[in-house]
Amino acid sequence: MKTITFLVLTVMTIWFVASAADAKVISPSAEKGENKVYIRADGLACYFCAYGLERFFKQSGRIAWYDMNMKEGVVEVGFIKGKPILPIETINQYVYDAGFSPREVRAEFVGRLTRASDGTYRFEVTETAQSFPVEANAVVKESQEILNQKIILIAGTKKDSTAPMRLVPEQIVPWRSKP
Amino acid sequence: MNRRFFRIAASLPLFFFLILVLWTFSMEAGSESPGRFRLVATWGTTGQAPGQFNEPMGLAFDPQGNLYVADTRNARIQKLTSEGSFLLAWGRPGEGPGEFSKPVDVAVDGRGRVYVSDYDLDRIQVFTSSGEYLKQWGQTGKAPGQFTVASGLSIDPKRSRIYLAEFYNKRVEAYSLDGVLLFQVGRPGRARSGALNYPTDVAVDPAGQIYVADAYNNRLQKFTSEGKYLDKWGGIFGWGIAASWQGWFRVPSGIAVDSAGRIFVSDSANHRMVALSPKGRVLAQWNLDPPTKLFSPTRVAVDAGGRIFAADTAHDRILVFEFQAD
Repeated sequence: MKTITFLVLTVMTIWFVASAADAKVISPSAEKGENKVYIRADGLACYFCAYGLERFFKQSGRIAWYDMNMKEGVVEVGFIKGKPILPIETINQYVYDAGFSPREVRAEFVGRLTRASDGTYRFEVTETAQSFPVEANAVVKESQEILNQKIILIAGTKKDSTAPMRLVPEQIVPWRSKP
Repeated sequence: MNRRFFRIAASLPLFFFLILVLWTFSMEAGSESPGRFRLVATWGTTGQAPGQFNEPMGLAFDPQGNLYVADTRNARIQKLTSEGSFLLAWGRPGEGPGEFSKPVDVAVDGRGRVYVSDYDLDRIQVFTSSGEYLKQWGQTGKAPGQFTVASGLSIDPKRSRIYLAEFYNKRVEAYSLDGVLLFQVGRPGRARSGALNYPTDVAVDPAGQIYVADAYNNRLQKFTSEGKYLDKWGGIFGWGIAASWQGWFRVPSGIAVDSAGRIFVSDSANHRMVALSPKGRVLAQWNLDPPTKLFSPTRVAVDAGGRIFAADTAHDRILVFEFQAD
């Protein structure tokens, strides 16, 4: 029985593996900022869907460029210099509205990490003066020597069960030395 | 006893699934294609110069045999001779008359007027054969006559109608050539006959019957000229499930019908072209050998001489085929 189940699951996995076409980078004329977001979504299988997601981002008026790779089922968007970055909830909603299921979001923001007197951390985005709380995980705690300096925060999240997506710091590097 | 009964009952779906898989493989092995595609030319390279493309999609022929290409990312329409030589181009990025954001399909009526659907701007613009702007209709919305992503276009010359596949509104709408809404074809939904799930393209056969590339139901659907459901093919018995075996589809995004009623499909996520008989029997399929992702057809068109043209959007080129019936 287990063998049959394994075979069936294997066949089904092969059957349903998405295949998609190559894509290319686009660069509209807006001045590019330093902040960008990378999104992996289920169902990103053709140009019509990818254009749909692009349309939502364009309508936000905050996106300078959009790079899609349908082979990998990912898109990358870059924000216009000085325009507020989109909250992750909004990004997720765009993905849903475009007809996909978001699986992973990874952000690369430039700004400063600060520590309040109560021990909590915040990240201030340089270009937009936006500020948001940051989880005090090991990556943050190991970055004490670059507090208040201009850095690149790389944060990511994956969709797990019913929990809402949230960005968790994965890497903090000094500005201009991108990994 | 109960435990044994439960085990047998639980294994029945798996048993039927295996039977389905075996049946499919046997059908594949035993099928003979009564026709074949022959690649005869490849037109275009990546770029913005005349004759180059940046994500080409929509294709259509005028009565003289010239080919119009919706050069989507270049935000323009290009007109080529029947042998692929550049004639003219028009359009530029923008939202004004004669401008485009993402032109994704093109259709030509019997008088040579060119209709262009714009994915981002939710409108259809009409031009002369030399690219002079004539008029437009459409606005963003979900109500009848409004669009949320104007996608595929096709003209029924006998009835002077134009059909528009609306991607996010999940329907096809029929308009007069002046832009007056006539009726709706299909309704949003999955699996059920007549239900459409992100349709991307539409075609009309010589009898006026309407064919819809029901992309995310992974099937084609056929309607009468008045929009009544007739038939469906693909999607694994029409249920909407994607598959790669012969006769089934994975995001079929483009469709065209030749003068003999044969149906040509760009089965985009399977990276192949498929030819079907008027009754839906698979006549031939074509992809690169071995199959790779280096071919990503989104739209297809057939000229008066029976050549089949596929827009290979990811690779900025148009592939020209001859179809040979055995």
